[in-house]
Amino acid sequence: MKFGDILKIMRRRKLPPGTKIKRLTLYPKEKYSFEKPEKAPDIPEKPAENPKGHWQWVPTREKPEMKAPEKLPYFRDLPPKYEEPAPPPPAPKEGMSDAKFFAVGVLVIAIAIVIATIIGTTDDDWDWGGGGGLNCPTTCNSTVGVTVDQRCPCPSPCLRSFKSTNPPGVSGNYKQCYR
Amino acid sequence: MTDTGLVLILFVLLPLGLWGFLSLLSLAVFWLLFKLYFREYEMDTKTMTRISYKVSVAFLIPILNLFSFLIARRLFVKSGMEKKDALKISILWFVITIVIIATIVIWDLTFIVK
Repeated sequence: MKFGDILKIMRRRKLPPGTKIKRLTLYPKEKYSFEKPEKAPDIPEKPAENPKGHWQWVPTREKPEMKAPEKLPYFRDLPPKYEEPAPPPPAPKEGMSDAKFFAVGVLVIAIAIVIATIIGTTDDDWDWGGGGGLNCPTTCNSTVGVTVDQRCPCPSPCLRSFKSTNPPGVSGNYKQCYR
Repeated sequence: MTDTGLVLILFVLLPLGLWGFLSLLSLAVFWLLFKLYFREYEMDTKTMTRISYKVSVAFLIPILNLFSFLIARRLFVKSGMEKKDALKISILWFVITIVIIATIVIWDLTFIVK
């Protein structure tokens, strides 16, 4: 994953003009309290009262006939209430989505920062186990030989070696180089 | 200083102070993110404050701090944000907060060593 990929994900979306800003809240009751109250719909004026002597035919409610159907439909004859939902279209297979790219990239950065912080704060003077390194000798007395760490190459001319016991007061794996 | 005073400072005042500092830091980071990057969203101060102090608590607790961005994401989704954007803002908050704190710690250690 390249840095350009992360930048591509982080690129600002161009909002079309007139896009409505979405308001976020954890208090739904006050969700729209800061919005301007909408104007109340215009109430139509009451029609003028009819003058005296005016009459109008008003339809009366007729009592519906209470008649039972001759044959009740069997429940299997009834048509299904809802149509069966169509099978969902197959989702297009994608590689890695933008969100996953972004999440992985940022996590890697975060872990790198944490590790860098831990390494950066480690100081040799505080004896936290950091620092140090191999102290490999570069010269060798051809008659006596030299004791070196096993990870070090034997210095010339003592090119032959065998595993030796540790020097007094020193821990680790050492070898004795001799000519 | 008495033992009681030491215990009070270590177990009450220090965590509360750190919590307050982190809450303010998170609030500032969230506010900046909303102003500069997530401009299509607007969040009321009360909600932002609540999310800030909740995620700050999570950030202070060991082990849980590694997953505090998930808590932030859940809260943002709950407030009505899209899941993708909620993940983005919560991870950005996590990274920015870690960078700021790491900077402070390193600067402080450098100061002590000198």
